[in-house]
Amino acid sequence: MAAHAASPSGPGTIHLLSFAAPIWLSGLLLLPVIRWLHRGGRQRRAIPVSRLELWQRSAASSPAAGERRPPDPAWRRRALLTALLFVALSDPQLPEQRTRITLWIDDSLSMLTREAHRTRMVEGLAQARSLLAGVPDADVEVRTLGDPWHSVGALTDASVETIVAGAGRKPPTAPPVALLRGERLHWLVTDGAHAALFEWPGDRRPDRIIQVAGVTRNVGLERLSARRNLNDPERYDLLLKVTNGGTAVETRVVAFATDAGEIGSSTLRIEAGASALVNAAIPASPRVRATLQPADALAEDDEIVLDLQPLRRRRVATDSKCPAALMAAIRTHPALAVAKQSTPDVEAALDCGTHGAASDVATLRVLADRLPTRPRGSVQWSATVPASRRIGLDPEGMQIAARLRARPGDDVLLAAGAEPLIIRRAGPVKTLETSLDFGSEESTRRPEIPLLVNLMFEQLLDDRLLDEIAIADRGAGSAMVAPGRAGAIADSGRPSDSRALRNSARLLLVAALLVLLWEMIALGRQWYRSSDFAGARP
Amino acid sequence: MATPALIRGVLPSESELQSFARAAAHLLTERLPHALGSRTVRRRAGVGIQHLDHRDYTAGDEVRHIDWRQTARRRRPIVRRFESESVSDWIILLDASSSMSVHGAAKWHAAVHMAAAMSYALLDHGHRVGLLAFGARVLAECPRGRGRHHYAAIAGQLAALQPARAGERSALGVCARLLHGAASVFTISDFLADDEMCSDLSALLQRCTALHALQVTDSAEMELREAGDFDLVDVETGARMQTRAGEHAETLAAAERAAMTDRLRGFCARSGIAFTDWDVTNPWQHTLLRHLVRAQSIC
Repeated sequence: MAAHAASPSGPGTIHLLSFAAPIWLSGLLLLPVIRWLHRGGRQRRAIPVSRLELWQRSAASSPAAGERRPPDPAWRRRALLTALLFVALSDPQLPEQRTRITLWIDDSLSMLTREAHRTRMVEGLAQARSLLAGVPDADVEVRTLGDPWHSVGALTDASVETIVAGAGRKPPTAPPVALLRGERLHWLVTDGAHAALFEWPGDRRPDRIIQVAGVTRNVGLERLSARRNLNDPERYDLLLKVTNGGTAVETRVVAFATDAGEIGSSTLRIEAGASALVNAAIPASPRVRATLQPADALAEDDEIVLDLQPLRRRRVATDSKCPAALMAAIRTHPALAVAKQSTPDVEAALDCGTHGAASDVATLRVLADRLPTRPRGSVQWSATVPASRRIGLDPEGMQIAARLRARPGDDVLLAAGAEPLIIRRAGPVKTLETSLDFGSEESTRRPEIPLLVNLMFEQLLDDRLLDEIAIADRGAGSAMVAPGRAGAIADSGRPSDSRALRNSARLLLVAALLVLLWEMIALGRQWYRSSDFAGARP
Repeated sequence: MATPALIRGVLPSESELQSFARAAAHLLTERLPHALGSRTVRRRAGVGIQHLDHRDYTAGDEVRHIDWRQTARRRRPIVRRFESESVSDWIILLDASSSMSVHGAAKWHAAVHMAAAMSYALLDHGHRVGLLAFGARVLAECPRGRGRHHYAAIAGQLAALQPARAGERSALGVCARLLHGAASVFTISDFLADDEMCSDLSALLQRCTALHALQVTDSAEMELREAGDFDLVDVETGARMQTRAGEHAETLAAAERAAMTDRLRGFCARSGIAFTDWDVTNPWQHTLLRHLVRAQSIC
C-alpha cells in the first residue's frame, strides 16, 4: 500500500492500493480494543428451568486457573465492520482495469494553423486517436477548453468535425477543477502557444500532452474597432490591432475595404511578439473588412470583418408641425437622420399632431393642445432611467403644453410633482408621449433640448445612440502560434501507461452495510431467544 | 353444572367432567347412611354434630369448639372434634408458581384440568369446595361454596389464572393460615421447592382433616433439546448456572427429580398424606381415580 500522491506516479510505478485520506486508517487501532472488550467469551444462551437444583450435578466446571477463555466470536464481525468503515473513510483508490481518459482539446484559433498538410487541430486529433487505439477498452471523453462543461462525447469523425468547426470562437481556459476527477486520466491536445492553458487548478498537470506545433511564424489581426467621426457623422474612424504571434520580424500590408471597394492600405513591420495599431477613416458603410497580405499559415486571422450596422444613423419620420427646436435637435444628432413621413424604411417617427406616422413604427408623440404653463412641483425621473442618463432640468425654464394621464401599464419616465411629463405607453408598438413645450421661443434657447431628444429616442429605440463603438476582438494572444512553455512540459515525459484509479469507498460501504445487517440479524436472533424468558419477567 | 363458554378451551369439557364425577361418586362419598350392609363405615373427623374425640387447640380453630372441661382438666386448650358428615368441606390448593409455567406451561394446564375435575366432582356430590392458588403468596382465593353456580366461580378463577413466567416462588405454607375449620385439602403442585415442601405439608396437616398431595411432573422439561454451553436460569429464583447441555446432563437431572419424588413420597407415607406422582403425559382421569382409591386406604 502506498499513500496517495496528487501527481501521477512516474513510469514504472505499480499502483496496488492508495488512499486519499490515510489518516482514517489510524482507526484500525480500535480492532485490538474491540477484541479486548469481547474477552469475556461468548454470550451463552439462557434456558429457563423449573428448579436449578435438579441440574446441579451437570454444572459445567469453571476454567482451570490460567486457562484463557476464547473471546466472543462476535468480535470478528464487529471488528470487520469497524475496519470496513475506517478503510472506506480513508477513500481507497484501486487501479481500474478499464482506463478512463478525458481528452482536453485546445480549440484556440492557433490550432487552425496549417502545418505541412493539415491544420494543427486535425493533426493533434489524429495523433490522439492513434494513441487511444493503443489503450484497450478505454473510456474516452472529449471536451474542449473553450467550452469545458460541454462533453463532445467519444472521439469520432463527427465529434472531430464539431470541434474543428467551433475552434477559435471562444477563448480557451484551463479545465475547471471540478472536471479534473482523479479517477480519470487527462490528456491535452494543444500547440502550446498559450501558456495559460497549462496552469491547471490545484497543481494538477495533464497526464499526457499531445503537442502539434511546427510553424512558428504568424501575423494576425487581433482586434478591429470603429466609431463615428466626431466631426463628420458620415465617416467612421477605425482602429486595427495587428499582432506578430511568431518568432521572427514580419512585414505585412494591411488593406481596408468596404462594400464600395478597397479604401486604403498601409505597410507594417512588426517585431516578434509585438503589436501595432493602425488608424483609418472610412465613409459610412454597412461593414468593413481588413486583410493582411501576404497570407500566412494561419489564414483565419489574416482577415477580419466588422459589422458597422450599430453605427448607422436611424431615420426618423417627422411631420410638418414639428417645432423647429425638435427638428434641429434631430438634424444635429449624429445617430439620427430626418426623413419624410412617406419614407418606407424609417425606424422611428416624430408625431407632432398630424398622426401621419405608420402605426407599426416606434413613435415619439409631442402633445401641445393648450397654452404653455409652468409645471408645479419638483422634477423627478423614473427609476427605470439610469442615474447616469438623467438630465438636470430647471423647472423654472420648463413649460408644458398638454395634460398627460398615465394609464395602467404605462411607465412615467419624467414627472413634475404629480404631473407626468414623459410617458412610455404600454402596447405592442413603442410609443412615448411628452407634454413638454418645444414650440415656444423660450424653449428653443434651452440647452438641454438635444439631450432630451437623445434620451427620448434612446428609450424609444432601446439602444444607446451616442458614442457607439463597433468592435470585433479575437482576444489577446489569438495570433500566437509559437509554442512556449508547453514544449518543455511535453518533453519532460508523462506516463503513458498509468491506469485510472477507481474510488472503492462505495464498495466498502456496501460491504460494511451488509456486515451491519448481519450484526443486526444476529442481535435480533439473540434477543428473540432470550425474550421468551427475560421478556416474561414481572 | 354447565361450563361457561369462554373457558371451555381451558378446562375439561362438560361430558368429561360428568363422566369423571360418576366414576368417582363412590370414592367421594365418605359415609353412606342407607347402605350399611356388610360395608364398614369408617368414622373420621370432619364437619358434623356427632362428637368424635378431642385434640389440642391450634390457631384458627373455632373458639366455640373448645371443650372447657377438658381444657381445665388438662390445663391446655382442647377442642372437640366431630364426626364427619357425608357432606364435607374441601379446599383445593393449586400451585401457580413460575415453575409451573416452564416448557409451555404443560404442568399448569394439567393442574388446572385436575383442579377443575376435582371441584366439579366434589360439588356434584354436595360437598363444599374452596380454591386457593398460591405462589410466594396467595394469588387467588375462591371461598368455599356449593352448587353449580360455585363451580362456575371456580372455573372462572381457574381460567383467569396464569402463573408468572418468572420470579414467582412456591410457598405452600402461606395457605395454612387461610384454612379454617375442618376441611379436606387437595394440593396440586410440582413440589419443586426446598425440602420438597415437606415442612409446609406438615403445617397443613395440622389444619385439615385429610391431606392429599398430587405431584405434577413433566418428563419433557428434563430435556433441554440443545447441545453446547448454556446458562440455566431458575425461573423462580433467577439464579444462573453454567452447564453443558446433553444427554448426560438430562439423565442426571431426571435422576435427581426421581430422588426428590421418592423423598416426598416417603414423607407422605409417614405422615398419612395421600400422595400421587402424575406425569402430565398420562390421562388425568385415570390418575385422579387411582389417587382417590389409594387415598381411601390412607386418609
